[in-house]
Amino acid sequence: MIARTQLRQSWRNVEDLLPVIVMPLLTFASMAIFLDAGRLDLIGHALTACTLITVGQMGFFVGSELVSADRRNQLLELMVAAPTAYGITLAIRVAVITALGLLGVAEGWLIVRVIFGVRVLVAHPGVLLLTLLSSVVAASGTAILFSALFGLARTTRTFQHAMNGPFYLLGGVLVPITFLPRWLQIFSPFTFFYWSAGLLRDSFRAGEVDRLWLRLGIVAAFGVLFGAIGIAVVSRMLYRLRRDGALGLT
Amino acid sequence: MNHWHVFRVALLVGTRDFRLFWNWRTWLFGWMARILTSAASWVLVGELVGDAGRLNYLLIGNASIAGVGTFAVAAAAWERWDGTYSLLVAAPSSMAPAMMGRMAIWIFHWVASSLCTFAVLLTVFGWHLPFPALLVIPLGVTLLALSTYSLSLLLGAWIGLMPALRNISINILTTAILVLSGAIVPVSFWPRWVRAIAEVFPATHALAGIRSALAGGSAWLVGQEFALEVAVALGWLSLALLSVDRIAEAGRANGSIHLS
Repeated sequence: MIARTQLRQSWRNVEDLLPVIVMPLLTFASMAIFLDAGRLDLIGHALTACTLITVGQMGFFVGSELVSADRRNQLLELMVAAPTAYGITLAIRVAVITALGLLGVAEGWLIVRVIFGVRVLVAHPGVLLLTLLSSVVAASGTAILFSALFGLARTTRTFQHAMNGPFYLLGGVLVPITFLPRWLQIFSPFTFFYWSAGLLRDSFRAGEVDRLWLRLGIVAAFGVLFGAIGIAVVSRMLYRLRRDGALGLT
Repeated sequence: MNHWHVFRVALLVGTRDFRLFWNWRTWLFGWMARILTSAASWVLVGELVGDAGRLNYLLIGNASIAGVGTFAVAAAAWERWDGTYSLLVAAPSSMAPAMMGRMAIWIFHWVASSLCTFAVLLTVFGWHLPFPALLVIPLGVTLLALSTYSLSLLLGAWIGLMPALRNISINILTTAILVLSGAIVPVSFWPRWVRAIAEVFPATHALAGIRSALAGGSAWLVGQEFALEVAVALGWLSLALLSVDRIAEAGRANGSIHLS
């Protein structure tokens, strides 16, 4: 019920769908560079970036704003008063929004196939599918945590503008981290983008996928861990606000 | 109240808008972190494809347009949130100076974003430029920011009627500048009809001028490209000035101003 309501709301709200509509357009840029350089072997990189940036932006830009939006629209007080725990409602809503980001895969593929006329070969469709699903879990968990941390502090906008770029660069979303300075590479494994990007690129490439289940597990673990911390943080903060009678006043 | 005075007051409103988003700390460490990492990602694609020339090409292109086109179109929609849009439409004078003033603050933001990106990327990638070239960059960046502002004014006029599309139009504008202006691949890469659009699109000629200056091209060639950029800016500005009041008037005529 919660998922269906969120889906209906987001589907009607063009702002919620913004990343899905505009982020895959970056495929025009990456494909143009790869084609101009005669590097058709890098198409997987273009689609990996398109997919992860769209899913990531749905989490960072839309999902992480849910708490702020609920406060702005004076819905938070009503939802806190409802019998279902707000943290659970929040988690389901964030997951639905982030999953909508998967539409970016189709849009990116269409740009590559129809506009540039290049066939996309997926060497490991199963790996692609599993990575997409685990990436949605990871992005949702991260967005729940950020939604809790920044929504209650009312600094969502600044955070949204600041965080996404560094995350994508460190995660090697467009360019693998081997091209980053060595001292920066140390931080990469601490973002799920690093693991997801590697798996997605591998799914487009022929050859065996190294340590598949371990890497998939790490991606999903990011989601479960961050999501659980996020729900705990939001529950704890709401408890204190209610106890002090400050909900709606802060 | 003359147009110039309205423009100045609106610019003050724009300054307030800017301060709502940023202070010097969040701008420097938040905004610039985003812009720099985004530009650096594109520059590193040059290394990914294994071509040093392309890395330099991507560096100049992405630094020149870094941050350009962001926020301004949305400023047209903020009049709606403030409840001032209908008052501006109802006022006896033109809406253009008010819109131009409120949006103009973002020109400074664009130029500062681009020049900071240039400074950092040139340092990080260890690229030393001769002194005259360093003077050409701020001029070229200012010109491309002005022509982007002119197109943003035209888009802003429409966004006043369709505020829900403000952020989508900004994202499409910035992506179009990235793809079409020659920032990532030469304009000649695209089919003829796309090249025709690029010719009248903001940033294309200023960027060509910057590239020409950095490659040691003649002052005449650089001046020619910059003059073309000024022509593009004036073209979009004329279209915007012709449209602003007409579009707002259309909203008043069909009663959609408070409904959309």
